[in-house]
Amino acid sequence: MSGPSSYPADGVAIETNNLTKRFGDVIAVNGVNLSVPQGSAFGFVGPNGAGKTTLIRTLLGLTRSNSGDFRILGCSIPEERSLALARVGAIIEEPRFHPFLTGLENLKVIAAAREPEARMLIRPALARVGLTDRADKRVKTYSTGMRQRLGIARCLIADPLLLILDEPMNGLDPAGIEELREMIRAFVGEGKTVFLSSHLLDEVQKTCDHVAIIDKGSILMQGPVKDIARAGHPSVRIRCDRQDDAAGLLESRPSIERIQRVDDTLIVTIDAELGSGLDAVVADLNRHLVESGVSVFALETEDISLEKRFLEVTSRLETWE
Amino acid sequence: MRMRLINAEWLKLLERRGLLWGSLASTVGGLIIVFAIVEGLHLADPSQHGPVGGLNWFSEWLAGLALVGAVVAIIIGATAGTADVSSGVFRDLVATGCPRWKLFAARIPGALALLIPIITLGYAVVVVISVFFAGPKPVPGVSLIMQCYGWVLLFTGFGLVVALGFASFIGSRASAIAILLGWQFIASPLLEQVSFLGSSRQALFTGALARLNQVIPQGALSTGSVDYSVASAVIVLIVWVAVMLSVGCWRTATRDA
Repeated sequence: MSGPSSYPADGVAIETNNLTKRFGDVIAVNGVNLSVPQGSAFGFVGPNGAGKTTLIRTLLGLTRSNSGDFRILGCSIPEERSLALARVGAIIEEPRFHPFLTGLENLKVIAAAREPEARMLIRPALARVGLTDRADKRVKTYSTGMRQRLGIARCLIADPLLLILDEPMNGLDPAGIEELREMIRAFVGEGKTVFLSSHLLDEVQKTCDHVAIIDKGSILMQGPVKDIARAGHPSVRIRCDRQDDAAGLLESRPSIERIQRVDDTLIVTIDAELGSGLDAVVADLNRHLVESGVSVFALETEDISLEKRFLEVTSRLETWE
Repeated sequence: MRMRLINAEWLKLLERRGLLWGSLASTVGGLIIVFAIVEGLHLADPSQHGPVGGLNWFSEWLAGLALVGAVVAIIIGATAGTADVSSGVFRDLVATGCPRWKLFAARIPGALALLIPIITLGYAVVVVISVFFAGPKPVPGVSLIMQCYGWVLLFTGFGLVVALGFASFIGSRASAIAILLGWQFIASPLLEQVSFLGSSRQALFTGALARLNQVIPQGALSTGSVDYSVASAVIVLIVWVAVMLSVGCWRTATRDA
């Protein structure tokens, strides 16, 4: 297989430097600096219209950037585009095929545009995604899930070091999502890098090691998923009597950032820097309320999630509240 | 040029069953149906309807095949030029890193590989009818048969290449077919007769194509209102092919996939 035989020495599968893409006056991708470590499952999340697909299309040469530069598998683009993409498999938005060709024939069409070795990988790829029995059926008879799997098979005939998957879970049922998640983890286990764009934040958190959050064309933050999520604000849900008094008592505590009242529950947002000592903070709140004569019925900490962190940092926070 | 890419283009067209069978039906099937009718008339009343073969009929059959073949060629060319974009697979082909000009270039031999057997089959029917159903009339010789075979391939192949380039440029199969059929069969014959356009009418390819065949009666493919030398006819055809392929290749190379 032509293309890079291994990852570059710096261990970065995708690196963009101040990458910008405009459509007229609209800046779809705005000075993006992205670094995707090799051998990782890298989640790329953002609201609809944030610039995720545009960035992916730029990386793959489907559209041209206006400024900035980037490297894929250590190859500078566009100078070494063909070399780099020889070891990249990609699903862009929903996987599309010639509907009147069979699954096998569709893969042959793509293999024809790759190196000769790609043809040898068609059967193994179909077997890996469980489509061997349906390979000779026309794609127009395939379900959405089967098309997604055929899209993965199409990626695998590149013997990819890097897989770029744009919303691959769209249209899949829960079993299909679980199957794809396991497949992605298996790819990472084999040393491949998976760049996963998705709006399913829970899935990204379950599947990925690293994440970048993009909004309005700009990267807001990137890093290991645990670090990104941990940087968020933990919260505590408190059910108690005399809620007005309780809220007043809690406001005086130094660890509290915000108190919201939702139905019969107080949602208390804790200072982000105290997130790691959350248990001690919760114990202190409980003791303070009880000692002040407030009856606490229930006190529950909310897990810090990528979704919560996402809502905190993107423009969707105001919309969702 | 990678042979695999050409095979893939051919496969994409071949597996469009409607395109394949429709093309065969309208060329080979059409000829056979017309033959059955006129041969039936001949058998029913030989004194009024002579044999359907021979040299004179050969030119009529050839003109018929060329006209229907041109329509088929435009449809196949337009389909080849837009198949990847309309199915959404173009972006996946681009994402392989294969240069876009190679993707475009492979379409030409791939589409010709579908058209040529269809036209050849139709031409074989024309030759069989002209030779074996001539009765006492003179039949076309081998040299003429080979010469006209080359011409009908040129006539239809030209239509295919122009349609492929034009369709790749505008990105719409239906629009490309409609525009090219309208141009070739309506606008071009009308423009040929607008005398004040003078020698600029030599830019029209229908007259140039007709000029390269001396068997087909004048008026069957072109109005014959424009005079061409063989050299000028060849130049006109080359310019049309060069321009259409250039704009098609340019658009393929620059369009957002």
